[in-house]
This record gives sequence, structure tokens and C-alpha cells, in this order.
Amino acid sequence: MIIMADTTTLDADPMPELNPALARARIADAFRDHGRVHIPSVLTEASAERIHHCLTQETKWSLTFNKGGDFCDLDNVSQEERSKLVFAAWQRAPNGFQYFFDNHRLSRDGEAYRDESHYFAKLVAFLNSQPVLSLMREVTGLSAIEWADAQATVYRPGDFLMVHNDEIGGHKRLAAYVLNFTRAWRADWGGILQFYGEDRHIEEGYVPAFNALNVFRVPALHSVSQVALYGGLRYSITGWFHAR
Amino acid sequence: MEGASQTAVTDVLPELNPALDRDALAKGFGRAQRIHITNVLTNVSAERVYRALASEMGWTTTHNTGGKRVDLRNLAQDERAKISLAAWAWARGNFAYLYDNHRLSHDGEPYADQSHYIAKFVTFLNSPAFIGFMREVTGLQGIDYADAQATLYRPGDFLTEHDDTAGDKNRLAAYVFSFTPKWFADWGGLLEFVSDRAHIGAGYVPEFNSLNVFTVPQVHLVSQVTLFGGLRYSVTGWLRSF
Repeated sequence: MIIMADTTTLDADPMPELNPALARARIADAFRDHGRVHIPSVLTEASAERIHHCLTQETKWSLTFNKGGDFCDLDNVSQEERSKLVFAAWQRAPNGFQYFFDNHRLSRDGEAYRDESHYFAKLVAFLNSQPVLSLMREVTGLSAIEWADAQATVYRPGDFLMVHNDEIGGHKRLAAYVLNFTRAWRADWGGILQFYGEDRHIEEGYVPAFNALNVFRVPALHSVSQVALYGGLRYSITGWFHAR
Repeated sequence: MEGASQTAVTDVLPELNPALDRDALAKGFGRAQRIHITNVLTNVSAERVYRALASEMGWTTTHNTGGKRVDLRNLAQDERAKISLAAWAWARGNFAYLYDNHRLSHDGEPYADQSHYIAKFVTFLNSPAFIGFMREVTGLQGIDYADAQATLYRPGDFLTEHDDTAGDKNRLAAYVFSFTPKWFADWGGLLEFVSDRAHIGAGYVPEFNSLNVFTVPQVHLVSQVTLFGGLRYSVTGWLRSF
């Protein structure tokens, strides 16, 4: 990875900022050809470091999972309770769509983050700022993009999101995004954002990375493969870009 | 898959599906240096091989926790669970594997027990029909023979990233026949290829009666079978020159 900036010590609270050196035309070409793209070094190194710090040190996580059509969010789950719940989720998994990971809601409908003093407020404002929205329009060719929702997620060993295509009635989702903030990952640790071909095999998979952005057109069959039981913690900020 | 009754297929010989489009397969292989071939055998012979793996095979658990290969027979379930925990800890930072296997042919020789159905499959792998097919698809005219092992990945089993390089073995290509009747991509156990950019360039779901072939070296892995997954049966090895 290319180091874009110096240490964070000089600049303890940098604003989230796009890497000014992105090869936008090349990125747009890739998106046009494949309906998806992986953009390394998407932010300045200093702002990526700051968000990483936020995710690893300053975030209160909730457990999120589904039981069929029931969507459950639980706060303050002990490790023992989480183990029980993940076993139950694994048991339900053969019977239908299932997900299980930790999250923290940042913005449901593009609104500002509830705690203005938290660094997340800057991040949510940034995701809905003109620099980001216009980059997304430029890269995807989807000129109707107007706003982004967002959640922070951490997938722990055993966590997963089964194959689905993001089509949900009532939302004008145009493209999905995943901002990666995971260091030193290995492909065999799982947690891979996997895209399915027409033959139902994996056409391509993005391995978790640090300071990289995945964007893909909706709908697209995809999943996050289970983080291996020998894997690490997979941090990201994820959501959709919407039309008004 | 629900075709002929068991009695009718009992000892059918392993046979390639005569309808394979060999030109198209060779072109596909030429592009990517790997290929996933569906319906590679006649359905009855694939069914028969599956039965040999699922019902007629003794398995040995193999792992390399600590860095050295260990083979263990007749493990009780709680012993295997302990071994799994240790293997997962080792896998976090090392090349590692854990699965069950059964050696079929070290160097292309016939299977030891000629009365076992799997002996017919080993003979098939080293027959002119299969070796010729592999030369045709890969373009590697130097392929002379195949070694083979049967493998069974259970929930939690895995094989981390590696590239199959082994100096003295003249491996030209690797192959994996999949014989699991029903599998979902979400169950893991995928044969995944790591691209130059450290992402996944392709992942093959272990679908019944399919064959994956790829050149060596190529970084690949078998993703961990999820604890809600099934039993992943295959016959795998390398296509080698003398």
C-alpha cells in the first residue's frame, strides 16, 4: 500500500478527506466494465487512521442478526451469550437467509449523527458531502445519487452475511459501498465480500483491507463469507448511495 | 442425481461425460490457467464414486499444527474437536490445514485394494482417456500420470493459502473432483484463487460431479467449511510428468 501522509500525531483530529490522487477515470472504467470496483487508498492516510481509531476504540457495538423475517439488535451482549446466539444462528442458517455481526447505526436516512461531538458525526457529514457524492456519481455513472446511509460494522470470527442481492422494496438504493478499515488481513481468514456469477460460483471477492472502498451496483448477488474461526476483527463502514 | 437405482449402478466404470465441449474447455483454461468443468463424469459413475467416498472409505485426520504433518486414525469426536481448536489457533498466523483424507495413489500406482471400487477410479485417473483429456484441456502435453487422495472436509476444516510448489514432484497442474451431492456457497469449503492484488480472483463451489483444474504454482486456498456446512467429499491430486 502507498503511504499517503505522515504520522497522525501532528494532526490528531483530521477531517475525513478523499485521497486527492485517485485515478478517477480508471476507477470509472472499471466500474462500467464490471458493475463494481475496489478502490485502494481512498482516503488520506491520516483520516483513515482516525476512523480506524474510532472503530476500534470509540464505538459501542450492538449485535445484529435475523430470525427469519425478525431483525434483532441487542446491546451489551456478553461473550457467553453471543456464543449461544451464534450457535443458534448457525443452526438456522441452512433454512434461509441469515446474518450475524456487530454494528452501530450511523445514519438511517442520511441525517446527521446523533452525537455531534463524536468523530462519527464528521464521518457521516463527509459521506453526504459533495466531494464524496460527486465522486460516487463520477465513478458509477449513476447521476441520481443524492445521499448515503451508513452503519459501522465489525465481523468477529464466526460472523457472516449470507448471499442476497440488496433488493428491498421502498428504498431507492443505487449502489452499495463498504469502506474497509481492517489491517493485516489474510484471504484465508474469510470475511470476503464475494460476488456471484451467473453460474453461482464466485466471480470475484474483495479481501478486507485498510483504507479501501468497495462500490457495487444494486442489485448484485453477494455475501460476506464467514470470518474463519482463526480470523481477526473485520471493521468497516457500510451502506448504500440512494436517489432522492 | 436421483437417476438409476443403486443396484443398476453398483459397479459401473468411471467414465467421462461424452458430451463435454473440449474445445471450449481448452479455450477457457487458456484464458485463466484454471477451469471448472461441470458434469465431468457420466452421472451414474459420479454417483458410484460418491458412494465409495461416503460409505466405503476409512478416513484419517490430517493436520500440521506446530508445523509438522500429523495423521491420526479413528479419532473420537471430542478428540477431533480438541485438535480443531489447536489447528485454528495455529492457522491464524501460519500455513495450516485440517481435514480427513485417504491416500489413493502416491505416484500413480494402482490402489492397494483392487476389490475396492476406488481402485477403478484410480485406474481411470491414469487411463489414456483421462490423461489425454487433461492434456487436451490444459495444453500441457507433458502430463504423464496423476497422484490422488480422497479428502473429506468437515465443518471447521480448511486449507490456508499456498501455491503447491514442490521441487522434486514435477507437478504440472492440480485437480479437484467434487462429489458432494448438495452444497451452498455460504457453507464455505470453496476453492479460492488469490489474485495478484491479494483479492479473490475466482472461487469454485464444490458442486457434485465437477472437476477443477489449475496450473501450478497458483496461490489458492480452501475456505473454512462453516460450522453450519456439510461434508465436502472430493478426490484431489496433481497431474505430473515422469
